Amino acid sequence: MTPFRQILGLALTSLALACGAPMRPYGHPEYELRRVPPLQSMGTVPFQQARLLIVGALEDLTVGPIGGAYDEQDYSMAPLEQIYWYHALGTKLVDSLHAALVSRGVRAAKDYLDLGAPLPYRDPAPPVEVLRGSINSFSFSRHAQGFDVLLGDVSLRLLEGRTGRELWHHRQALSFWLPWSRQDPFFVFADALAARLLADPAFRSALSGGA
Amino acid sequence: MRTVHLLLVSLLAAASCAPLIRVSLRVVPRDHHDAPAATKSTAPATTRSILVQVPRDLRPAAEATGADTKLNYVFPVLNLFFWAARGSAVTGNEHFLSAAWSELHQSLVDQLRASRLFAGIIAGGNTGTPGSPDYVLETEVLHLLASMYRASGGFVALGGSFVERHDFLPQATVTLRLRLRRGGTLVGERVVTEQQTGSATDDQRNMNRLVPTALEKALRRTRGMVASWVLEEESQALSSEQLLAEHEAAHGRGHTFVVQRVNPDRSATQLVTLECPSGKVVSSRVVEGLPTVGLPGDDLLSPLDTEGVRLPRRVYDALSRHLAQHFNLQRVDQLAVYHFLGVRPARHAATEPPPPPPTGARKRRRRLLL
Repeated sequence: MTPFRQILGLALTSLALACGAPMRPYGHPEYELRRVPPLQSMGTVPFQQARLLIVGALEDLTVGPIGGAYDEQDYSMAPLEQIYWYHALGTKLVDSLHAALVSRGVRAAKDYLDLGAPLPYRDPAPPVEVLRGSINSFSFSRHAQGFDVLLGDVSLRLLEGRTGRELWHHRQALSFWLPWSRQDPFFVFADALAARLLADPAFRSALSGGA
Repeated sequence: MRTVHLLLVSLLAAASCAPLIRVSLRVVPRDHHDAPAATKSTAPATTRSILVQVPRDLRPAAEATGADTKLNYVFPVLNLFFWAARGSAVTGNEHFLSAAWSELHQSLVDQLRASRLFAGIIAGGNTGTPGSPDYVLETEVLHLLASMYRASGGFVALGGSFVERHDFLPQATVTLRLRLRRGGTLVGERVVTEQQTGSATDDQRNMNRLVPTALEKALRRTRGMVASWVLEEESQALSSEQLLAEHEAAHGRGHTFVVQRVNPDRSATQLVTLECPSGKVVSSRVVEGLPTVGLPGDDLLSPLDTEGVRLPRRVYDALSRHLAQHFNLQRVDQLAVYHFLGVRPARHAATEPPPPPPTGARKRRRRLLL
C-alpha cells in the first residue's frame, strides 16, 4: 500500500468512524476492541447429576456471514478485509457444547434427531433432561493484530425429558478476545458457555434433579 | 461551492440508485434425488390433510424496509470534496415483487404437495379453520434477505478524482420457524435456516437473486421436517413389527440400508447403500442439503432418507436391531444414532455379544501358559 493511500484511507476511515459508520456487516454486533474483555478460564464448580443430559437442537437465528477478518491499523477503506461463512452453525455448536460439557464432567449425549416435540421422549425411554435453545447472534472476528474476538448470544432451556416441563431457562451473552491459537473457535465459545452454565446454581440444581 | 456540493451528492446518489430488478419468491419444488421418499417411508397418503397458514412476517424492520450503504459524510475543503460510504446494503420489500408474500405461501404449499404425503392441502388464512384438516402448519419468517457489506471513499476535485471501493460477497439468509399442530396440540416446533453465498459477479443490484435460491433450500428442509413430524407422530400408533414390515415393504425386501458420512465442512453427506447381510456396496452418492447428522468422517447407520426425512425413532430402532445381527453397530455420544463399524464376523453373528478386546493382562497370561 502506498503511503498516500494509507494516509488517505486512515483519514477517511477515521472521519467515517467519527460519523458513526458501521464497522461490522449486517447482523453482527458492533463492538469496540478496548471494551471486549479477554477470555478468562473458568473452573468447574462440583455438581451432582441425577439424569443423563441430552443436548438437543440449537436453532440458528443468525444472519450470514458468520465472521470477518479485520485489520484496524493498516487499512485503506475499511478495517474489514475478509468475510467468513459457515452454514451448519447450529450443529457445530451442538457438537462443541456437548464436547465441552463432557470435558467438564457432565454425563451428556447428543440427539441429532431432536424434532422439537413438546414431549421430547415418551415412555419407556429412560429419564433424561434435554437442553435446547437458539443462537440469537454469533460472530467470529480475526484481527490482524494477533487475536480473535468471539461474540454470541444464546438462549437455552432445560426440559424434563418425558413431560417437557421447563426446569430452567437463561439467555447468555458472551464476548471475549483470545490470542491466536490452533484451537477451534467454536469449541472455545462452547466451553466458555458450558463454564457459565455450570457456574449457575439454578442450572446445577436443575441438573441434580432439585428443580 | 454549495452548487458543486449538491451536484456531487446527486451524482453519488444516482450512482447508488442503479435500476432494480425485482425478483419473485415463487420457487418450484424439485427433487434432486429419486422419488420423494416421504411416500416410501410410511403408509400412503390416503386421508391425511393439512392446512398451510399464510406465513407471518416477523422480520426485523431493517429487512422489511431495506437498507443501503450510507454516505457517511461529504467534507469540502477548498476545491476538494472528501466523501466516504460504509455499511451493509440489505434487501427490503422493494427488492421483491409486490405479490411476494402470497408467492411465498404458494411455494410452501407446492413443496408439501410435492412430498405426496397429504391427500388434501388447504392454503388457508391464519384465522379460522376451513374444514377439519388433520394438521395445521404455522410458519413465521424470521429472516428473508440478502446483504452485502460495502465500503468506498475518495475525493473529487475539479481537476480529477480518487475513488477506492471494497465490495464484499453478498449472502442471502432465509430463516423460518415452523410449528405443526394436530387437533390443536403441538406436534413439533423447529427453525430451518438456509444460506446462499453470491459470487464476485454479484453486486448490490442483483444480490436479491440469491434469495429465491436460499428460499428453495429452506422450503425443501421444511418439507423434510413436516414429513418427519408426521411420520414420527403416526408411528406411535403402530407396533414395532408393523413398522419394520412397512419399512421393508416401502424399501423392498432386498434388505438394503444406508450408511452416511458428513463431509469435512458439513456441506454435503455421502450416502452409501449396502446390501444386507453381505455388506456389499450397492451404490454411493453425495447429497447436499440434508440435515447434518454426526461428526465429519463418522460412518453412521443413516437415520435419514434421501429427502432428509428422519425415520421415526421406532423404525430406526427396529431397523438397527435387525441389522445388528449381521453388522457391528455402536452408539457413541449419541442418543439415537448408531455408528456403523462394518460386518460382524460370522462366528459372532446373531445374538452372541462381541468378544471383549484383548487386554494386556490376558496377553501376559497367554504368554505364561505357553
